[in-house]
Amino acid sequence: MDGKPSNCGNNEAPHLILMDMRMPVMDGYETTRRIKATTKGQATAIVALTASAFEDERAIVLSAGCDDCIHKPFREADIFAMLEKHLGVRYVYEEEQTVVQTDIHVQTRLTAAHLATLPSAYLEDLEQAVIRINTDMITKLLGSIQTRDATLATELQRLVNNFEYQPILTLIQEAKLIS
Amino acid sequence: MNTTRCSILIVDDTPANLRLLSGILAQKDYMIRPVTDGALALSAARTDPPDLILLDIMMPTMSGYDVCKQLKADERTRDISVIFISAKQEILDKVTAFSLGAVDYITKPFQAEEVLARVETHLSLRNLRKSLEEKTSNYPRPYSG
Repeated sequence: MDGKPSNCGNNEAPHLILMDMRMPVMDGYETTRRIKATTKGQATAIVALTASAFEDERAIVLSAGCDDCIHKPFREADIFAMLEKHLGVRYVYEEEQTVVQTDIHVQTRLTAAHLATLPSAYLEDLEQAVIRINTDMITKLLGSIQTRDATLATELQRLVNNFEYQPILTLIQEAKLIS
Repeated sequence: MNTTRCSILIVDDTPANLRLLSGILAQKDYMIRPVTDGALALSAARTDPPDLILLDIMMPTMSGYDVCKQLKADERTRDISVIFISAKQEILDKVTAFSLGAVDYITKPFQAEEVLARVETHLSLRNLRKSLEEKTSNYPRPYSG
């Protein structure tokens, strides 16, 4: 709020202070000088927040005892970089979720053995429906497979949604050999 | 009275395009049969001939022209109406398209209304031709010997 020493944490010395240089009552320069005049204060890193991007302002800020300086408007990354530089902290970043292009070739957990658990009439009908790319028939068949084996129906639906008919046909052929 | 729904085979190697076209045509009561691969499209057309085929020209392994040639060479599929789809930056050889037996072509980017209008026109033309063929086949053939 303001730069009066009572508000500056004389009792609990912080490791780092982000100091706005333009404050009422006592400005950032005076506050910095007073903090740096104490032993505790010398161990505290002070990063000045200034509105000016001029290099000479940076010199003034540093001569007032600040350890570093960030110009406003600053980015979140600037603040984190300062914390890293002066406190030696390291960050663990959450890995960015990369959007997987699922269109090309969907990995399927579907196996021929799983398909082979269906009655052979189902396999025959499904094969015919897929060869014809008769979407009405496919939808109807997946509906009845759903009531028997929801996981199987979901996997098949996923392949159909991505127009992956060939993997379905290949798996049906393999399943026929098993059953 | 036409109780069976018209079925439309859409062939495009790009799934996003297939979804777009399927979405547009789903506004009408058609059975949409989307497929990304020319060979699968051909076997689907042979086993269960659709009423219309929308065929992308630029496809890997088998181009739309090749698919069309094979459709027209096969008795089971030669009468199916084919509409070519091509991107605007591709040089659409309109003469080639028609000489291969296509009835129409649509250039990308297209408007939904345009696609629906062209599809509807060619489906009704096809139905007219079909009913005409049925009628004429009932008449005794003129003696030609």
